Amino acid sequence: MAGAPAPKPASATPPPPPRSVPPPPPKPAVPAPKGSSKTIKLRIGRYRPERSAEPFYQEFTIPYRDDMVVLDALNYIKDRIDPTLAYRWSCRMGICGSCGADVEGSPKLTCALYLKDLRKSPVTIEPLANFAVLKDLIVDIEPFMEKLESVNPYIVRGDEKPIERGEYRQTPEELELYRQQSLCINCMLCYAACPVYGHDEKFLGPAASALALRYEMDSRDQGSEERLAAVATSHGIWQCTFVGECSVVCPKHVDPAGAIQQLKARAATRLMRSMLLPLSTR
Amino acid sequence: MATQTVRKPYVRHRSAWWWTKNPRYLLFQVRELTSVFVVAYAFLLLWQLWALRSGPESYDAFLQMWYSRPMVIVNGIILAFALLHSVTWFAATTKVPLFRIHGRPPPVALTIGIYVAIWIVLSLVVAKLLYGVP
Repeated sequence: MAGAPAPKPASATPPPPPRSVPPPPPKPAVPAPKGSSKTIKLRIGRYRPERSAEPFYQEFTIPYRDDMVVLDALNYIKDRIDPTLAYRWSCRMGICGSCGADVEGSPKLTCALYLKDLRKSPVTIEPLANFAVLKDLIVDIEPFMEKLESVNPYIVRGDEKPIERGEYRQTPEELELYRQQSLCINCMLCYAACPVYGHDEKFLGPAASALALRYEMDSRDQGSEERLAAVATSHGIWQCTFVGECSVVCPKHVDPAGAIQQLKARAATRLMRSMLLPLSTR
Repeated sequence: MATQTVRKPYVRHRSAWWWTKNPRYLLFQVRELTSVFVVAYAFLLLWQLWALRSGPESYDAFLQMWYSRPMVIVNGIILAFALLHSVTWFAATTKVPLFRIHGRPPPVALTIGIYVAIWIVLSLVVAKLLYGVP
């Protein structure tokens, strides 16, 4: 056959071994939990859209100590057992609001829930309810972000004063009126706990309503008219049937259920004033 | 080379039995259900008015039915649901503070206590007007 390579002479030096990709540097060793004689079985909801059309559960049994939280367990699994496990987290201290998941059917911040306090075995960890799942414990937060934007979450001024005249001042009492609602960390646990949002994703929902009240109660704000019009709709605050579970699961005690009822009272008062009072006194 | 995004959000189906998985969801559903019993009582009152309008014999027959054992049980069930609705409603109304103490909402127990006190006083006034007691 033309072009066939000639046999190499037997005396030729052996070819160098094929150049291989150097192995990746070893991962820094994750310290095994000291004093972790106990083990816990976790049943984690997985969804890998590139491989399967349906979510499934995967069980892991890991050692743990009493000072470990659920997020530590997830990190342990990702570092030591299965690096493909996907979940959100950042601060580990209940501030960033990104590590929410359903633990035993109840929405929790995984950084604030101790493994030792979980009684069932296996412990089921799933993505937050009522949201579409993107991968494993990661849910689609886009609808939530759109709701936050829809309530004009900023101070609206009708008569903006020049910057030379200084800031808009506020007394501690005026701050206290909206301080509770301003503590929201957007963890979305309230949406996962809300059956109304589970029924209709168009519902404005708890956190966005609390955010609206936060600016409604701000003495510097002058945008109440537009904001109330934005939230007092059929898919807004009036869709809330006051289950109240949003306030129960809120890790920052924002009380979004109360916020919605206060918005309802304000919207109803505004409507009554517009019907009963002459234009000059509204 | 352009990368391909495999983004397939999975929307989960919610079970029709979601309200059985949390006692607070169950209480909410029961609270909603109380409205059915309140409506049922409204129809019973309308029935009573209709019987009253139809003459003494008709009203006597109504009263005989009204004091029968099954109707007493029905009224007892309606009363239980009405009380549940009232108590849970009073608890719910504390979410809208009517006044503030030093800039803060009043304690929940104080608000509920005020509502319950007003409720009892009004009930006694109605009982006095209807039955002359206490």
